[in-house]
Amino acid sequence: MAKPLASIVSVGVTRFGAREGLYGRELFVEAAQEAFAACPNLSPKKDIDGLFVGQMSESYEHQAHVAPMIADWLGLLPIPAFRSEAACASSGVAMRSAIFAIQSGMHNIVLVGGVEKMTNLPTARVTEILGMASDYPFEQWHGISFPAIFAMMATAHMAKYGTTEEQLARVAVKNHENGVLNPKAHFQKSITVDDVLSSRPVAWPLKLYDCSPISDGASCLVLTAPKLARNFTDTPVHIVGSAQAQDTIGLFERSDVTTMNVTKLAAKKAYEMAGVRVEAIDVAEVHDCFTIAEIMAYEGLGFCKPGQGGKLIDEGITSLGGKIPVNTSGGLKAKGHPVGATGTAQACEIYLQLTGQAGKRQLKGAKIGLTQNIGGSASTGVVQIYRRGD
Amino acid sequence: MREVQPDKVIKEKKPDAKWADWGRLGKWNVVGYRIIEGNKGHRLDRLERARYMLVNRPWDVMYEHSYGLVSRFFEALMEKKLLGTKCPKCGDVFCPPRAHCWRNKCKLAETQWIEMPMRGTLHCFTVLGFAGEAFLSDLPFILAYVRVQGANTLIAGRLVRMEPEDVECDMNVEIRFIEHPTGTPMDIYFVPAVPPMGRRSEQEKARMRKQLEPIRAWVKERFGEHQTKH
Repeated sequence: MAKPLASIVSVGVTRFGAREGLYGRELFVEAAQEAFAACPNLSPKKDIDGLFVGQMSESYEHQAHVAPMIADWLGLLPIPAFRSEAACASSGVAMRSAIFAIQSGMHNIVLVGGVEKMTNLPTARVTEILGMASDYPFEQWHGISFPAIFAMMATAHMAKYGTTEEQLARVAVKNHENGVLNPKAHFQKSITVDDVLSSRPVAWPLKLYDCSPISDGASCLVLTAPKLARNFTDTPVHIVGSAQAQDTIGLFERSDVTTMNVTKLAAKKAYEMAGVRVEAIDVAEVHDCFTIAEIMAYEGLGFCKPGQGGKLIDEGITSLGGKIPVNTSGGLKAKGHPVGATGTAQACEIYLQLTGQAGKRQLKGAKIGLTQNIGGSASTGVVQIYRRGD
Repeated sequence: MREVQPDKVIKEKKPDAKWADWGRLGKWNVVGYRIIEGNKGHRLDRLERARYMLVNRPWDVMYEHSYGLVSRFFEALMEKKLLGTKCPKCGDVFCPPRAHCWRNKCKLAETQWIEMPMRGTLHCFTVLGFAGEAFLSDLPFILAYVRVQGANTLIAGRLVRMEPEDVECDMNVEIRFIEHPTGTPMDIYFVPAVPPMGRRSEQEKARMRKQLEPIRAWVKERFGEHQTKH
């Protein structure tokens, strides 16, 4: 087993959803308060020596330079604070920066999280802001939204492998079922395949229920050098693999739009670092911004062969009772997708699962977890592997 | 010492006077507010009520962008010519153009301009049912990525003169120009070069038509009958 890179000793997540009335910074406070309360041995002001924040866009709240602001709102001034931007992988990348900080020896205990406050703007405007993570002008000017980009991947996947709209729908159905068990999920309601198929097309073949919602929310982790973890908790979760890869910003410059190269490359490296094979993964949180993205994630992570993702969902292998439960939190689809908060929210869910704190959705005896977080049309991909520290 | 020559305007189309007040009208004024009683709390099962004030403040910008080293592509569009670029070392062809080869082993060589044929193959597509504000009145429309013959990349554009349920990956298309191009990627669009191959069953087509019905109804209700540029 590989040596831990860093250890998670506490986590906090806000309720995701339309959090009307709250600022983004206040959402981050809500998440951090939970993380601090769950870790009585931590004295935040004294112990935390760095803050890493993932946040996608200044446009939602007309606010740039959020890192110092969040440090201020948490009463942590004057610790160094850093913001990362990698579209929907912003906090996945922030986590990696935090790991580098710890690995370098220059930081010992850091707070890393993400936040996005998206619901105050009209949906068409949010669509444009998210679209800024695609190529300008060759994608954005045509009105190519992110649903459209993933829909293009979907039609190519359907043509190449025979993947069906029903299989896409089953991803949404599974994740909504999990969302029902998560009291912080944006949607806590089950849906049927027919509900998905008869919902309004956003970018055919993706219908409304194939798409993750526009949400507000924040999430964070307290990350320590592995040797310090036991000072704060008896049940740390170690990060044992962490890798990242990039691809072209425009989908139009890829040789094959039916695979996510970044997932494949980052996964290969993360498995190697962690010294585990795919069979060892007990639970995974993957980036299901759209249902097709979860199917492509299965293939990129090696849960199945290329083109077999639809079959995997049909066979229930990734359901709560299946061999590799995926998105026990409800995923981006049902838990919600405040884009900057998503990467660390995935890590929070793995932490809860590995430490037995996942409530009604708790898996039995999960020891090794994985997260896959992508930005844009999978122009950024982050894969991380976690091990229960016992 | 050599002096840097100042920029010289070769051709210009100034924005219409109606845009002059853009900044003043758009920025900084709070134009409305709402005070609400909403929710506060971590979990749906433990909520308290709280009072919030929300304000409306319009804000937008008039950008000036340069098309940079690939400006010639956009100038050519105005003359109804489709250009691409080619790496002199590896021969890869880029359409949309890149000013430098994407391969590090070609030492990011400066590419050369070539004229592209007006035909290609549809790689993948989607039928938009929702979009950014500027595109709502055109819904539902088909967007496709097309590999222009000879290119190593794909280019995006609308596909017209075909019902969404007949569109298929790998079909051949022709590339056309809109009547009055303005030097943007939307100056080109695609039309099918061959009749539909008919890979989708009648049942699948009927389902797709039905799925798109509410979009058509919504657009008609909100924008009335509407003509696109194609």
